[in-house]
Order: sequence, then structure tokens, then C-alpha cells
Amino acid sequence: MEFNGNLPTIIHLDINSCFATIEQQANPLIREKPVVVAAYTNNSGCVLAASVTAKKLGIKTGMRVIDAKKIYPSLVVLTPDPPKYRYIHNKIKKILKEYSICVVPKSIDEFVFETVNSEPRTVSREIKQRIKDEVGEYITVSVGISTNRYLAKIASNLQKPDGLSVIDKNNFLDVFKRLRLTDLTGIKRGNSNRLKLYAINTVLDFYDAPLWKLKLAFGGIVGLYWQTWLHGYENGQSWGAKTRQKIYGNSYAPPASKAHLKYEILSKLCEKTSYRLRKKGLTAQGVHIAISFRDGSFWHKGQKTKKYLFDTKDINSEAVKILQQCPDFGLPRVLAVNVFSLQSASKLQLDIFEDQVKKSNLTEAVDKINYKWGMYTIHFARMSRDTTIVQDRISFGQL
Amino acid sequence: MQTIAEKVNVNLLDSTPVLMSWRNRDYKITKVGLHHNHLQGNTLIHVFSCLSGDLFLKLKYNTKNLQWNLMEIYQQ
Repeated sequence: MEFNGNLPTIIHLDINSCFATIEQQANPLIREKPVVVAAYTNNSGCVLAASVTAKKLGIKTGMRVIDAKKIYPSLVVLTPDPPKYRYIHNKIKKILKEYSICVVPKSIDEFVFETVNSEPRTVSREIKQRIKDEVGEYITVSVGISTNRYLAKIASNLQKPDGLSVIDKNNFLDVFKRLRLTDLTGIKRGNSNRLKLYAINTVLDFYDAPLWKLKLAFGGIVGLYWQTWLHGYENGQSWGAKTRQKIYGNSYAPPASKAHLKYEILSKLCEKTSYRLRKKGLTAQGVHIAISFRDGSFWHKGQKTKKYLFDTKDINSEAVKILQQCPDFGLPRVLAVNVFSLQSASKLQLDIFEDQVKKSNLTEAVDKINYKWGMYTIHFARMSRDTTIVQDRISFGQL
Repeated sequence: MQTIAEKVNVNLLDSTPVLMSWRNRDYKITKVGLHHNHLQGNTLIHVFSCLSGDLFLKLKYNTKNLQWNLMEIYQQ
């Protein structure tokens, strides 16, 4: 297979050190200082984003605040402010929509889009300038341009911060020569060891590897996907198309001081999940709980239900039943609730003992009040209104 | 950052805060770092992150009760 000879038109845009840069944009006093945004400001808090200056010192995402402070004791530690990040995300998205009809947000700080009738380098430079003028002068983005989404993402990582890089048929060999296997998105220690077993030690080896070898290394279709991506093609899926969501859920990593409030956290997660489910006009026929504990152990269990679930009370009581079966491994580190077997709420199955329509109307009325006056204005008595029990968070990964 | 959450008076010019009065003292706004908004229920909240000299101020404006609050301050 030859490298894709088409003009590169796919653009991947990544906000540099997103949360930290936005905080520095808001507060000019901390612009040149090492700043981190952490889940909690105490020593055990996890760093969610480090500013460019902090990264230069060796502070990385995922570190504990205490370890980051060992590197730089007067580090500025801030807690996340999700409305601020969502606002910037939406503002950038609005700008991008002026250049492309298909803008796909990959996460809170990443977008992919395609330019059709304009030169992608010119468009990218213009977008970078408009972000500085219209969103914030301190906010910088790295842009990658290529013939497929995967290589566009790789290109966006080549130059940080404030970069603009292209991978196309003219320079792909030079770029691949400079990269290590683990620089590729999706290839970390496990996959790189897997490739090394088949004598694939560099990105160029990976690019030149025959399909049979990749199929053996990754097992089946994934090997073909890798070959397609590295040669600059999409893997056949329409990249703007959204796949149907099969589960809805929420998870939360409580601080050590709140970790004993398992049932309170669970009820709030159920409230959030059921609200999202109803907003999408769906019902579920199964509940799944996953808990990773502070001692490193993990437990999860899913259960199908006969009833169609859409009401918070029903989802919560099913979740509580599952949680009661959990062996005692101590305090949870992360607690997650998911609902599955989704169906449209319009196909609501009537119940002989309970008036489902009445219940549906009641939850709809409660949702309307909560939408108007704010989340949890009306809530179940057993659910704690303490906003610190499950704080607003932005998840990693696709929105 | 120090949380304050107190009512304040704010003077605006072209929808931008220029002066804040808090605890009988006036603070001239020298720079607005970021102005963003979000919904709390159906109430639109404007948040101004600004500077008064070397003092950072986070001001919140509730468009329903027309009230200004000083949410946070930060000084180097």
C-alpha cells in the first residue's frame, strides 16, 4: 500500500494545556508561573492539566499535587472550573463552524474538521489568529494537518505549544523517522512490546510492516486499521458520523475524606445518569456498577431488570441492590454507574401494578423544574444536596 | 485564591466592569482577563475574571436578580 497521495484536508486542533491555559487567560497574574489544575488542591489531588511553564519543569498530568510541589514548591494549584472550559470550547467550536460544515469535538480541548475549498495551512493560521483575537490572547492551539484523522492528531503533537504541522506524501518519511513508537497515539508500553515481538522497532518498521504481521501482532481487523491509518487513509468509517450510544453513565473519584459516603455518591450518580437518559428520550433495562478501591482491587457487576428504567428512584434502588452485593474491600477510589440495554422511551411497556404513564409524567415535570431552577432543586430526600459530594467534572475522552 | 462571595457594587462602561466598590473601598478595574457566562437553571450568570492593579477579582453577575458578587480574590 502506498501513502495516500491526496491533498491533506483534515485538521486536528488541540488547545495547549487546556485547563491551565484558560485559568492563566482569566488571571493574568499567574501567566508566567507554573500552574496546575488539580482535582483537589490537597496533597493527594491528581494533576489534571499543567501549564506550559509547569511542563517545562517536568510536572505532568496524572501526578499527585505533592509530587508536583516537590518539583516546584510555590506551584499555583487551582481546582477545575468546568463552566469556564465549556464556554471556551463552545466559542472555539463556533469559530471552526465558519470554516467547515463538519466539526467533530473529540474532547473538551480537541476538534477535528475538514476543509473543502480552502488551503488548510491558510485556514489554520487564520483560525489561530482568530482564537487569539476573539477568545483570549493567551490561549494557544496546536494544529495538525493530514489526509486522515489519525495522522492529523500525530501532526498536532509534533510542535507544542502553538504549532502548525503537516504530514503528507512529501514529508511522511521524515516525520516517521523522527518519531519513536511510543510517540504514536495508541502505542504505549504494551503495544510497543507487542510490536517488538514481531521485529517492529521503529515507526518506519511499523509503516513498512506487511498486513499479515500486523494482523498477528494486534489480532484481526485492528492490524488492518493500523496499516490504513499509517498510510494516511481512514478505516472505512464515516468520520463525522456519530455511533449510537449503548450505555449511559457517570463516574466519580471522591477525595479520601468523602470516600466513605458510598451510598450518597451512588444516589447522586444515579440522579445524573437518569437525567441524561431521560433527556435523550431513552429507557434502560440494566444497571452496572464498577468500583475501584483504594487498595488497588476492582469489583463490578451488572444486572438486567425486567422493568424499563427511567426514573431516578428505580435506577438508584437497582444500583443499591448491586452495591450491597459488593465485598468489603475498603474505601472506593472511583465509583461508576452505568445503565445499558437502551430503548426509546416512546415504547414504554405498561405495568400491571404501577402506573408507568403517571410516573413518566411526574419525572418529566420534575425535570422541567430542575432545568428551569437548576439541577437538584427537586430531589429525593435520601439524596444529599451537598454539592461537594459529587462535584461537576469534565471527563477525559470524547464528548 | 481566597473565596469571598460578598455583594459588591460595580460600575460598567460598554458592558465591561470599570470600577468595583467593596467594603467602602473603590477598586479600579485595569484589565478583564476573561468574560464567560453559563446557565444556573434558566438564570444567565456572567463571570468576569479581572485585575485591579495586582489584585485578581472574580466577579459574578446574576441577570435574574441583577446582583453583583465578588466571588474570589488572589494577590501575588
